[in-house]
Amino acid sequence: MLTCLKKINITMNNSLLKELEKFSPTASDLISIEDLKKSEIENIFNLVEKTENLLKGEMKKTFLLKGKTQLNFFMENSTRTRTSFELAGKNLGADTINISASASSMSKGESLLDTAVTLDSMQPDIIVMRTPSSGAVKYFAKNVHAAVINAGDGCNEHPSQALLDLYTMQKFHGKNLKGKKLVIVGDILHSRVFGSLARAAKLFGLNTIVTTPHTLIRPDLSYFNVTHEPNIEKALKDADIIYSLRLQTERASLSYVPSIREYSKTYIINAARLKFANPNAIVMHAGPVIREVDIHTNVLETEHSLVPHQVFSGYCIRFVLLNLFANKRKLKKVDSRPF
Amino acid sequence: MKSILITSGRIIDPANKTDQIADIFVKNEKISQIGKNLKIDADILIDAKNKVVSPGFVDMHSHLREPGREDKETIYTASLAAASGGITSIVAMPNTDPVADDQTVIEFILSKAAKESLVNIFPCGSITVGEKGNKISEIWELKQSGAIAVSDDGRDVQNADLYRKAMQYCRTHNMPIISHTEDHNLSEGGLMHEGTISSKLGLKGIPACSEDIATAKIICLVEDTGHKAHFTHVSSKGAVDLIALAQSKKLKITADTTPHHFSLTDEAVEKHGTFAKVHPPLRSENHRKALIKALKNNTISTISSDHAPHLWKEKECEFDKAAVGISGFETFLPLIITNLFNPKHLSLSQALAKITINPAKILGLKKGTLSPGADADICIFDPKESFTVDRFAFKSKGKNSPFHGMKVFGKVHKTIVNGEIRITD
Repeated sequence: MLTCLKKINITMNNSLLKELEKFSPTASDLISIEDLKKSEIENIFNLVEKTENLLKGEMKKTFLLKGKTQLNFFMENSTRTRTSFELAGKNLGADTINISASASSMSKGESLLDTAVTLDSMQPDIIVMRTPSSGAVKYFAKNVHAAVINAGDGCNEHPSQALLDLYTMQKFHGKNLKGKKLVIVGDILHSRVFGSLARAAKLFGLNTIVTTPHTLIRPDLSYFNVTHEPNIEKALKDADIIYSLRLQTERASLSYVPSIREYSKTYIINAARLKFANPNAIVMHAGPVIREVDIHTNVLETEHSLVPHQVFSGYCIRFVLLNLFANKRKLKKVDSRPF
Repeated sequence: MKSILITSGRIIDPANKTDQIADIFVKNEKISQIGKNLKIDADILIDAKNKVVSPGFVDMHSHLREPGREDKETIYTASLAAASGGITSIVAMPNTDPVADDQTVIEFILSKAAKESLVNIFPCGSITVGEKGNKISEIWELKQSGAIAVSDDGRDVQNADLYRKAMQYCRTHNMPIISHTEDHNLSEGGLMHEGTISSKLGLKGIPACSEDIATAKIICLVEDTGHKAHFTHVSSKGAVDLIALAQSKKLKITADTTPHHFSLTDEAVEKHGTFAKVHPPLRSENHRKALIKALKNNTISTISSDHAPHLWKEKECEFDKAAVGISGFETFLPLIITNLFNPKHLSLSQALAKITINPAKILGLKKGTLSPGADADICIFDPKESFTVDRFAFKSKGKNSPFHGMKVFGKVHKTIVNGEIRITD
């Protein structure tokens, strides 16, 4: 039985390997959705589809990244993103190490630049990084030879999240998302998920509307090709995809609304509000979902909710991304520093 | 409910730009018909010959003191005083005890008003929790429970970032903001307008710039957020100039001032002592003149009473310890007639617009007009009839008025609220 499974796994590896060899994204790091072309994203999604069976199977271990080193450098808490990157790396056969800011020498006063140089000197192939500072991943990436995947930088971007979201949307609404109505609800001001999702939605021609109080909106949404409708019921009319964002309490979002209870009353996605959307509308959330604040259980526990699907898509997406970026180290150019 | 026919009065309805001698028929709480020589059988006939028939007055700013300070005033006594002054709709400021910062207080006021009030009461919620200026109130819920605006009246929100968020939040839920406009760093400890009289009396002054600076701040926030703001009890020339400038830029900014601010100056402090202690303070003559000019050119489009009743003992004390405010409902119309209409600063129609349709429009209330179908809120008064203000005859519990003993014009004869005669002479 076990040998049989191993065989299937090896055949899958081989076909995946071939597929993976066919293309490599032009960018050497994944900092923003804008680092990928639309065709590259479509290629990634084709590969992700092929990994689904492998990662749902009994034997998940492959050796595609055998001998490679992956560092997960997380300066903020995470359940989904870090676990799926780490698990995907291990499934691929890479050696993975997790570093948190509090357990690193940054807590002793080492700068981000020196931390970058130090970690890079250990010849990692990939660094997956999360930070509370917008733009810090880009700065970090410029100073290391390892390929860097942005797992969330402050209020800026979280590209792998947007990819898994778009992939999940395609699974349920078909490959052509052009003109589908995407309604994003919640803390637009602080959300890096919004930053990446809106860029991805623009690339794929979705009709994106955000609904949130004027306190939680970015001052100019024209760059994202997004419109703002503060009235949630109006915004949800005929929605195909409802995407809820958590209030970023760690970024002081609570001072932007009177209280959690009033926020929940005015912007929660519940069964009554879902009725304004299309009957086959899907409900998504980047997690962690705060039940009865972001999404009511009477929606979360129905077939409309794709939250668990998103997590699985994330796992598969990260499996593919690690593969695609694991061979960039040799090629990547790092600017020399003036001193 | 009995039908009412008011005959031969001079009907002035600024909302419809009408000023005519005609009859007006009231049925089922509404204005039914206006016309010459109406031949209708009514249950009650009122002869309004030689009197003005106007929409009942809308007062955007008053303190009813209930809940919390029922010793000063109650919803019932306030409504009686308002009706006596021809005022049929009043906005209740939130600085009660507890502060009207959540639905429980708003619903208490509305349920009490439904049971006891003689006039329409529109509660105003607070912008920040407890009017403390630290945290935005649950403004959506305040609106749901019946609050028609928010204000931190009595104080001002000092933190511009918080004010900006509050304005953005009010814009989200289309909630009007009534601004008490004051920089506390400049006004702290002040007792009266800073100037000649404060220097003479040795009382700590409140500089006019404390209002001007706060006005400028709020105008900037209105421009930034795209929301609207209404400045209440405007008292300084600087504030008037800033408001005019903002209006010329088409910002959604409106303003009111009070009868005491356009009638008196800081000299009243010398004459009337604590009865002239009010916030913002009565200012000097150049400020008063600026207010009159702004009323004339409509920079200030509304007049509100800032009715602030206090106990006898709270005014019969040292100036620095005395309560702040004037009992204003019952001198509201007479001061407008005496000090704005009689000196020909405003026509009767212009003056009435400022206390009927203009405030109603600012707050989005369906009040302040005699259009057929409108709520039958009517005041019948005689602008030529004079009397002497007697504060002890006030229906309000608050007898605190610097106008006691003054000869004024404009006597209210009847007040009708929602088709019911509430006050009759």
